[in-house]
Amino acid sequence: MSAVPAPDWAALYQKHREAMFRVAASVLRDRGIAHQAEDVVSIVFTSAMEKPPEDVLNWEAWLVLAAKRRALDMVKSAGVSRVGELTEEHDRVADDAADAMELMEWAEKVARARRVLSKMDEREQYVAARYMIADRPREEVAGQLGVTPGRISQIAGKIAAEIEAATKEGG
Amino acid sequence: MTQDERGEALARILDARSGRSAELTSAELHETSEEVRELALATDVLWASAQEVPPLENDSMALMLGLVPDPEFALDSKALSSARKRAGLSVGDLAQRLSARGWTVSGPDVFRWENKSALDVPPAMIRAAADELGVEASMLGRRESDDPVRARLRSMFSSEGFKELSARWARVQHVSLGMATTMMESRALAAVHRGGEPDPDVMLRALEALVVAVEQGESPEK
Repeated sequence: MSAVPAPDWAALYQKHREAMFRVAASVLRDRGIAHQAEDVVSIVFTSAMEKPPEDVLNWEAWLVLAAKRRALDMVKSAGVSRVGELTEEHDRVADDAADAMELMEWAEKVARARRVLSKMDEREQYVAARYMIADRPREEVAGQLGVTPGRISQIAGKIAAEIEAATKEGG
Repeated sequence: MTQDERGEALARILDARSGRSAELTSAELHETSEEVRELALATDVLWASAQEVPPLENDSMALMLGLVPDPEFALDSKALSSARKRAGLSVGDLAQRLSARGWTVSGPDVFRWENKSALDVPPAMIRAAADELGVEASMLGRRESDDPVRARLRSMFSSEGFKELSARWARVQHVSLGMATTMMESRALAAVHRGGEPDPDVMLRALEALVVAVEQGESPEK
């Protein structure tokens, strides 16, 4: 039987680092350490190169799942609240394939959300960026746009509804 | 529940999450309706979509892996062409072999490297090509400082004007800044014919015209 050729690590890294980064950032966000996502990607990749996993059928799935688990480890060590719930799935080793599939679907949703946001008007993009992404207070964003906080709620609701519809329908 | 009521319910969740994902804003999220819960989870997806991976040139792992073009180890177009022909491969064959390794490469890319410019080819890709062609990587590399055209382009890529255009390109194309920079560099490189003398000012104006056209929605990039 011929030996399996070593993966081209540079090619894999270039192709999948963005998906790994986003997954890690999403997990770390809840501990306020999303900025450590780059470290997670680096650690996962270094570990994989040092001890290459065997029989990998889908490198994207493997790397993204590994990034999520590494991020969960960091969250756990940082003592996040409700960590039991967070790590419960982490400990379910038998569900690798299902976890990976779920993450691939999530990554596709993220890509669709990006496309939806790009088609929104300037005001909606501002509300998305300041209120929904940067977590600035609603009153502050309302003041900057010269509208009421209630109007910001309406815009946020519309943005979320469009993203939700796009991620469900594949738009 | 009306649209306004859903918006208000969502705002209550967003206001309470204090920087966390909506998914973890347990009390507010689990006490609300399924439709509002789904809106809240959509905002988590939105947040993730806005997270930008650092540009390759600022990524230590990418640097270590040789993913950032290196002026001291640039692809020698003639050497690549000779090695490929000796190996009995077409440009499409080589592109296919590189793609099988995980690189995003097409036959026209390889053709461009051989006939126009290969300034954007990183050392890792040169090593992969050498591996596929059965030659030492050093045979395909050259020092960029030996080529004034390459040096001039490299200088343009580091200019403030080029960086500003890359940022605008990222915005209109909805890609990361790193990706946009790579796309802009590739466009500039593709415009440089072998033996040509690119004028950085002219090239920047041409790139700006492209960015403006796309910004105005006239010719979206495919």
